[in-house]
Amino acid sequence: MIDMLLSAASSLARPEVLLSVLGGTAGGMVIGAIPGLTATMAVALLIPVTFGMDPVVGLAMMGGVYSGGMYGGAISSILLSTPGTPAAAATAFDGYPMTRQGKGGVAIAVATIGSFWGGIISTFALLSLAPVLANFALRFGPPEYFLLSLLGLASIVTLTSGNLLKGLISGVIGLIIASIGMDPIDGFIRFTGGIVDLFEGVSFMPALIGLFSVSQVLELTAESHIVQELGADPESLKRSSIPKGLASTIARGGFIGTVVGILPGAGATIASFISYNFAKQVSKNPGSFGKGNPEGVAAAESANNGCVGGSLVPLLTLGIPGNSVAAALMGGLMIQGLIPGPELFTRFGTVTYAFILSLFLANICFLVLGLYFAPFFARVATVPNSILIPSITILSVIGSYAINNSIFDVWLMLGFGIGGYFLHRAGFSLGAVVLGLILGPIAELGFGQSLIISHGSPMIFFERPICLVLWGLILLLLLPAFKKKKKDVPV
Amino acid sequence: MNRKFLNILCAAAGLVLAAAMFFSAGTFPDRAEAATRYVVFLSGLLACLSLALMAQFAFKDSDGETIRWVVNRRTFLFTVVASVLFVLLLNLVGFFPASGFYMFVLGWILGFRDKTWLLIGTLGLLGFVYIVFVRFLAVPVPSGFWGA
Repeated sequence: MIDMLLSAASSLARPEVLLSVLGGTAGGMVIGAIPGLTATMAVALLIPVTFGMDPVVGLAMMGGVYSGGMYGGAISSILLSTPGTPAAAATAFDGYPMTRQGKGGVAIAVATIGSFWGGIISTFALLSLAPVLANFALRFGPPEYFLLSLLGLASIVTLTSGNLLKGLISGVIGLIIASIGMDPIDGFIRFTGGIVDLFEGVSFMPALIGLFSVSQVLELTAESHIVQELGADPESLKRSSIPKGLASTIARGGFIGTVVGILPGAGATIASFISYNFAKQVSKNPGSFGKGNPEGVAAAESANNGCVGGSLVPLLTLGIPGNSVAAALMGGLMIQGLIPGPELFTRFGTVTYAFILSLFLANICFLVLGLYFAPFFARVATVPNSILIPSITILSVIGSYAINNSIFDVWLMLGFGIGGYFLHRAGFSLGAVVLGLILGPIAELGFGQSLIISHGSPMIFFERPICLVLWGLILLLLLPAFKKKKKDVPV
Repeated sequence: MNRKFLNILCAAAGLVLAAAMFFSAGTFPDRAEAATRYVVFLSGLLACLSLALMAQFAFKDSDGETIRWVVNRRTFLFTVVASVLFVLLLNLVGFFPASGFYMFVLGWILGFRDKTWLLIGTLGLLGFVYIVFVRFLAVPVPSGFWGA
């Protein structure tokens, strides 16, 4: 492992890698700072760009976008009271009041330092935990992989903010879409309607770009601007020193973010709210929360960036994306020929460790960029939608076309975008559809192979010890949903 | 359309889709045993979830919440139509002329009236696409009737 780490560290020293991390982080910050544009969308749009790149360069850029995007959400939260990403919603509680009090620069500095340490803590956890978990994953056979994909689907319960049944149905819709084309065991072609382009299945990337980018573009048609003007004068937002006594809040937030990020489905939004509430509970002055307490900003921001490394633990070791950004990143890994699982830490160890180490660099990049340029990034949010809409559509079109040089993929992307918009409006979860789309091939292969091994007996899914543990975890994830459902029933 | 009716409609659609998948699995050849089993599993899962959704809302009073499918019909419709025309034009006139035309026209229709900045934005974006995708990644973007 040490050899691979050293080799990975030396591969990071190349100028093109450093540039890609810097560019990715800056790009992620800009997109994260624009409400309505998410880190998932940024990663999805970036994958076609990284297609022809060296794996280390491409993955480092995607890691930069993920980290930068997660941090960038705080900028608009603090300056505009409009969270750039849902994960930055808790940041606005105290960040915007601080801006109103003329402490916007301090709030930005606290968010930057908090995000930096949150990211560093979680990347350390990723570096130390992932290889251990990957070793454990070597014991997994087809039944375990099938149940893992069910676990991923069950995690939708925590991913969904609206109706949980609709969240689960969204996941099944993703599985159904993934079943279009050739079956992986018998080679039988299903549900293609005779369209040759669908024989190999629905291309993942056009679907992803359509669901995350085009549907967002259509949401943007509702307003002329995301934000009309900045809540603070950028010139007044000079570098500010952060108040003392935030170290424990930041460390706790980073830890909470990492743990919550590791849990499949539980994302940065949940982590930041848990961390914020916890900080409020243990604070000597809980009444000041929501009125401009820097502890609130530090707690929320360290937790949401803490999720970055955490969410990559199940992705890299088990191939289970913990949230929608990790799902998009999984597409990027697969495009580079890196199938998540134990092999990533053995056969492809150098690239994988380089990717993990690049997250440290990304954190340093947004620390510097955030402290000096955050107010300027925030200005992008004031770009009118009449410019954003065609620009994002053109990038989506070229992005989905570039994967296979196919116009069919562009139509697919457009179809998924329009369909995704209406699904979202009807209360279905697009993140869950994508999760189903990703987990579909894993689930189908595991299901088919398991039943072949057991000569058709489904008992194979209940006999092996790891399977029983996985069933336990699935039930554990679903339990809160049933509890909530009972509570929701009108008396 | 209110939310209760929408959810019942979605559940019904889910049941119809589950039934269609179940019956189509019956038409799969014998050699495709694994494919049949998986599709039956998926249709069963979808049917169970759809039934649960239907049960959840069938006996629930409507909360009066209505679904607003499109907030600004004009801009939504223009964007969708222009995007479809853009993709249709790709093969006909090529990527760059179609993209330039799309950005300029849609930007104008959606209310951006500063021609200079619209032109600068269009050229900047197309320049970025040209450098990254055409020069760097060697993506053979559609060239339309201008030829290769």
